Amino acid sequence: MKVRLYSASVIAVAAMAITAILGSSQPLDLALIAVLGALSFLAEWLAFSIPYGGTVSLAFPMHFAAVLLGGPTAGMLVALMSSVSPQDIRARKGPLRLAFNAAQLSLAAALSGLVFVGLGGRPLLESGAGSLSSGLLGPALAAAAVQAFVNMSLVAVAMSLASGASLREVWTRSFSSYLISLLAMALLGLVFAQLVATAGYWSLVLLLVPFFVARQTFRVYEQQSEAYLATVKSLIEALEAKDPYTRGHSERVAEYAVGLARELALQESEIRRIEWAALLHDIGKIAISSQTLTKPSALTDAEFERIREHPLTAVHILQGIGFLADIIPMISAHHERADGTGYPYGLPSASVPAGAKILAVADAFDAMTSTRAYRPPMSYTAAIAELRSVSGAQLDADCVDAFVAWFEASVRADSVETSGDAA
Amino acid sequence: MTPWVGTNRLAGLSTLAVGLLGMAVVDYLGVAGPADPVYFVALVLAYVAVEAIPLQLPRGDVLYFGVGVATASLLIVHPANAVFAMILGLGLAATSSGSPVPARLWGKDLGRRLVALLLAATVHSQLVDSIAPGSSQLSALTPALLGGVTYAVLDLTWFSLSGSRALGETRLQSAFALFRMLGGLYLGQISVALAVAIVRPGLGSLGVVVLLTLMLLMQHSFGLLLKVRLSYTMTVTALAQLPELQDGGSRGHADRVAMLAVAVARRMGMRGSALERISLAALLHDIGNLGVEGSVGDDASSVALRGARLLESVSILADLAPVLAMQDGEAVRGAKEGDVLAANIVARCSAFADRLGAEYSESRARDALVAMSCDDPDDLVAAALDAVVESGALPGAWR
Repeated sequence: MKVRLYSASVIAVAAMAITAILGSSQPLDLALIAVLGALSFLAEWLAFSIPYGGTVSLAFPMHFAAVLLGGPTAGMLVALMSSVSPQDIRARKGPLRLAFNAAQLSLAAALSGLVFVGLGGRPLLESGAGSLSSGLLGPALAAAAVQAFVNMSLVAVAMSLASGASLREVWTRSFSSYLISLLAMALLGLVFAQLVATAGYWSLVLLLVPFFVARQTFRVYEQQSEAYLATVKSLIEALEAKDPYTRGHSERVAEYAVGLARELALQESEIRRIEWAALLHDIGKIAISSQTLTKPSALTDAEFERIREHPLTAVHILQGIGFLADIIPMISAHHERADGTGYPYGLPSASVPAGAKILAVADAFDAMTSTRAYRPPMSYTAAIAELRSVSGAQLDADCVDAFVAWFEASVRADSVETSGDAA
Repeated sequence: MTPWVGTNRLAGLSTLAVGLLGMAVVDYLGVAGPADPVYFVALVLAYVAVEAIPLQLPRGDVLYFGVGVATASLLIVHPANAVFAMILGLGLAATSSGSPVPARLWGKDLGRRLVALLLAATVHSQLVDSIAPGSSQLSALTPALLGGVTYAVLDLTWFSLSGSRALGETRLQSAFALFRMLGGLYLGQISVALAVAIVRPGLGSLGVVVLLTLMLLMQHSFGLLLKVRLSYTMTVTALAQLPELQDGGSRGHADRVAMLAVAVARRMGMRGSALERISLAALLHDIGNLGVEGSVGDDASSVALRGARLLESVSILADLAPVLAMQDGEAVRGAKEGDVLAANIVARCSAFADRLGAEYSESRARDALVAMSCDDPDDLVAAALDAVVESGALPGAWR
């Protein structure tokens, strides 16, 4: 209810502002609004994802360029024109949400334009306006900051009302890094505006070409990365098929390791690396016979030595693959122990990468809760108790605590979901 | 510190010294006039950043990419200062870098780019003189556009001629393949450089810095793509070799079969994606042994069928399954045009590599060819394999 009321208020304010501006006697530069409006709609339509989260769209720079070239009215109308994209329609976003988005974008552009003009800036397409380097840069940068701030604040309040989280929490979690990219986009908007002011609309092509090149590059990158992960998963699955006791082990370890890494609030790029390391952590066992791996009785010294070599065998297999360079230290150290008595090197805890400590916990948990040739699986409760008992000696204490917190929260969430389904 | 790093640092310092000395001489002679220090430093730093984002090409070598910065430099400083910005930037990058590039190769790379820049500067200055005062912005940018294109063409052509070439690939094919791969990036960078010329009078150094940063980001994103492509192939190669390890064998057979199959296919006129398919199919021809202990002695067709079933479960590799499944020569459902030939090439190359083992010798290669020969004079695969062996290129590539 609060969100609806808030959205409706923002929409009402924006509607009044648009009515007031359109009703004023100020002449409109229709060519500017048509060209930049169409381009920003196109930019929003063709927005693309970049690795490890986030999307890139040239819509914001276009809105800001419209502010600098034509003032608040032009900025507001251009923002309005690109506020609903085909993706929004496909995603079946509700009319209130669409209208709120249009309103907050228009208000941000209008306020930005008012600040620009209020600080002495003159729209660049007006005759005698001067250039951005001669006195207009200060007002332009202030306008950029206002546009970014208003844009994010209006959305942050809506998110806070919808989620129940505090405004400060929403701002810190969702927008602190976004602010930097938004300011970078504003700088690009400056360049757009200067291009049009100096050479005309055709010159925008000079920046649209690299945008399309980057878009194509990242799309192919995403496809390749997905294909890469799928291929490795399938081949690891085939590899694990030789041992019925470890079938699916690497995928489960990857799931646990990703959950634990998220609980530790690691960056998305690091979480992706840990997922890869988990999938490949036991690849060195290929050189160990099934007889040894599935032996129900105690291992001989020679057999145990073969087992201890498997992290280094994995390094040997994967070394030289640039994309995997960061995960090799995690794989090689996933059997090191917190007390420094692990293998293959007996490294002290401080020298073991965080990713390896995470893998060790995830690996141990899956090993305990899976059937082995020499014992039945442990219950989850018993396995958690065992993790706690070796915390600080075999396994890193912080990782164990985080894993237990994540696992218990996941179990709670699953049981809520299950009871919801049953109802 | 490895000896190569030391050599590289020395080369960098020498280059810096030569660059600074050259600048002093040019300044004394008054040829170029003083360069705006902000633009000059921005260009030098942009070159340093370019050196930190090398493009690792699928064929194995590294391209240091600077067409955008080079084109922009022609537009914002005198050509002589553009040359010095490049020399100082690359010298500074080499001095501060720990990359183990041999000094001789580094010097060749510097020479390639300097020559490209000098010719681009010549084209640019000749055309600038012919532009009438008061011409449109579009006409005024034509010299820079053609200067940038000159740099790009020279850069690519020289790189493809002097760089390492895949077995049997002609220089023209190498240049064309590089252009197809990097053409968009060259075009994007030249576009941004032209934008630099337009915004500089109005936005000054801020505009130049924003656009140079944009160029570097574009290059970085392309570098990421190349890295993931190369790593995909390398990872599939590593995984394809796992069956060799699981029975205590030595690695390398799959890699050798892939190298040989590509050489044979290229000799038969295959190009582009067809070659990639052959390479992957050859790498994976024994993947059916994965997870099947003691399977090294199994007959090739049952291994191939197991491999085909495995590949069917991997979406991106599923269309290779028929190539593996047809290694015994029988057509299967779902096969595409050319799959029978691809399967034939992989099967022959695998048999040839089996006979030779890990060590290459001329006499064993000839014995293998004789043992595998068939009476059919129209057997193009056998003829191509024969020609590849005769070319003498295999001993160096057999690893």
